[in-house]
Amino acid sequence: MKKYVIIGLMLVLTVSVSQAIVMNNNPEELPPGCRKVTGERNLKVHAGTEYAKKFNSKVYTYDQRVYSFEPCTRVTVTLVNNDSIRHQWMIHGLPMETYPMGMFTIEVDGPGQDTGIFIVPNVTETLLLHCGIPQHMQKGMKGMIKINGGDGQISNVPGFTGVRKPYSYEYREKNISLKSSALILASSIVIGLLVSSVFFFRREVEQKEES
Amino acid sequence: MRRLVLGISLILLLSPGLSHSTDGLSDPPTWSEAPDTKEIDAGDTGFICPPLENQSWRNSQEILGVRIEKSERCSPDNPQVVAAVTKGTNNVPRRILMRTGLSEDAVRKGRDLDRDGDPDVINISLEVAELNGWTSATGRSTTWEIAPGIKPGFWVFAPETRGMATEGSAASELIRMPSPAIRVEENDRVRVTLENTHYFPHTIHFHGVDHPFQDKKGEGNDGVPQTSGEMVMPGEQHTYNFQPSEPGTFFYHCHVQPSTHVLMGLNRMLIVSKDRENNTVQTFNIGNGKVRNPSKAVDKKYDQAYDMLYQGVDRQLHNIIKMSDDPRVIAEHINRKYDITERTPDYFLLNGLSFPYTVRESQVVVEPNELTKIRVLNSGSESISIHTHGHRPVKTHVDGMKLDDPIRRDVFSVSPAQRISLKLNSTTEGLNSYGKGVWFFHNHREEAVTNNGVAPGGDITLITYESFLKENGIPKHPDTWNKYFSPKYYKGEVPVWYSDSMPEYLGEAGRRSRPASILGLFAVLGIALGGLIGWRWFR
Repeated sequence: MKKYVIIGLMLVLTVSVSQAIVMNNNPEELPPGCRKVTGERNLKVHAGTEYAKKFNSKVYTYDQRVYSFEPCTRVTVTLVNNDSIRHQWMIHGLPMETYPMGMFTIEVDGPGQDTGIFIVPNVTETLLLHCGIPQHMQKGMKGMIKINGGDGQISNVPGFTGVRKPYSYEYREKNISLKSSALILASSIVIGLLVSSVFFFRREVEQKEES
Repeated sequence: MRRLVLGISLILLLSPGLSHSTDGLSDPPTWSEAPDTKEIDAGDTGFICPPLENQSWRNSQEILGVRIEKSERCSPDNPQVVAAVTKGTNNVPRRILMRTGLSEDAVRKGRDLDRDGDPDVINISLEVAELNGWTSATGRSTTWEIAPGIKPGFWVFAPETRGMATEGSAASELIRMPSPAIRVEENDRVRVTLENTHYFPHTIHFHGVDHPFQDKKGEGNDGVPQTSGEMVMPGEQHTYNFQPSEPGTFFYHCHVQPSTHVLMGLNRMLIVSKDRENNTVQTFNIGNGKVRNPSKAVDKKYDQAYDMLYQGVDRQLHNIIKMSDDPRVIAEHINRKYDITERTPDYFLLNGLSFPYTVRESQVVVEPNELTKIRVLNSGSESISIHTHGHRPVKTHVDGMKLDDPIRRDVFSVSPAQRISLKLNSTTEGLNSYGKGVWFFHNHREEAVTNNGVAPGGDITLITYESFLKENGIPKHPDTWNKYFSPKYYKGEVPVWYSDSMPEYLGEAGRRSRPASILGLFAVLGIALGGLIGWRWFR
């Protein structure tokens, strides 16, 4: 009972902080497949430009990007935003019955923090974690939520996974394509043949004149 | 033998030239039938007007005491957004605000300093968003289609939003081309905070509005990094402030590397309306076009008002942001590899869209005997020549200043960065209007009525009389418009007149097939010939 009072108080606090929003906060409702809450986890996640500095080319990221959760665990997440702009900690792919649109989001506008709670569904999946502000995910704010060990990897998570078709930095400007090399080879053969045939023709004429 | 080889090789080399020489009056070749007309697959045409979720969005209505004029367009503004940005996002119930996707900080309206019935302390928060940027195969990015199948990359100033920005979310409706027109009142205390959510540095420069060079703390307020303060770096914010003493139509834009940042989309109209009583103005006109809640001074003189922004798009510049996820590579190409002196625009936008999409949003819908105010800003790098079919409007203002002698024309040229105001009178007497109809309204530079050379496209819109409008906001038209809504049309894959008539000579000619085996034969012949010559030569 005491726990619910505390959770209730936290909820009120969450709503009253105007600079932050928690969407689909869920301290109680059990997602499908869970008969009870089997454990508690507390996390503090930092977001901002400073955590991206150790990754070349990345602009924004979280200090933690890969999380492993056991099914039916209640997770209390505090998102600390160190930038002067908005950031989100947004999970996709949760069960729609419990989390509308399958999402759980903490959004903090500018420096500050906020806390949200969700209960992990009873599945074996890897879920996408990201910031939904345009290009923040592409520039580093991307992560993985591995439930029960996860069922795979998500691309482009700084320090963990890459992209399928990465940008090629080699010979960026003078990249020689197969097509142009083939073209050059073919035209040189033709030119060579022409030159040799002209030469041959002239010799022929000379020989003829000599004879 | 040698002569024979030489002869064959010469004939092979010269044969295309020889065949023409036999084409004479006295000796014509025999008749050969031209290939059949090809069947055309025009592709998926989609909707001319996508179904509107809520029909009532088009109606005139009142929300939270804010009067909202009707909008007959196919895609009207969300009236709740209009109400929220007029009243102030801090003065709107949370449940309404959540539905709009706006942040509570998007536009905060405070005290009425001169006690004339409207707020005079205005705090605006703008973010910087990228549209159609780089994305991994599995990732989603915020997209913006200017015409069927055409998605150049853009950067925009967007009112601060809430939640996810990907397609379908409430916020995504607000993060779009062009950046929103901002309206304030004369003598308002305006503070605009730039929250740089992008990955490059940016600033805001307020063009034409009187503003101090530095703020009270001595920080830069002109937005020019070389002379007035630092750039706003990714993840940081900066507040600019001004108290405009003159009304008019002005301009705001980013002043970091403006040769590319302005054209990338970081530009928009800024309107200072005349000081009147109870004049709570609509701070943002999302996507521009019709102003659903016009200011008091405009409302008194005119029946309706429109904001129109013109700009050209050079694909070469706008595609750079798609090439890599590495900001260093993008910066290298935008700042040093792209050469604006060799610029050739491929697309021409009116309010962030090209024809046919312009008709969904930027159609000027009139009834006879009405006065319409049209504000025009040319934010591109080429001058424009606006022509109105069926009407002779009057130019009343240039660069926010009233003309002593208004000028009546049917072509108005507008230089880059210039603003003009037009008064369009729909009274049929020949001088103002030729009468009811669906009249083209376009930039008369001929390349500007195409999408990368395929017409009709570009910044064409329409002046449509209500009786010519269908219920969905699209005009009645005899032509088949479906083909213009297919990406294939603007890729140049559909003959322009294919569905109309005479496919025998206006359709697409089939191609004679050239079997690949011929190429193989050539290759074998070439190798044999080369070998023979070489063999004879070296022997």
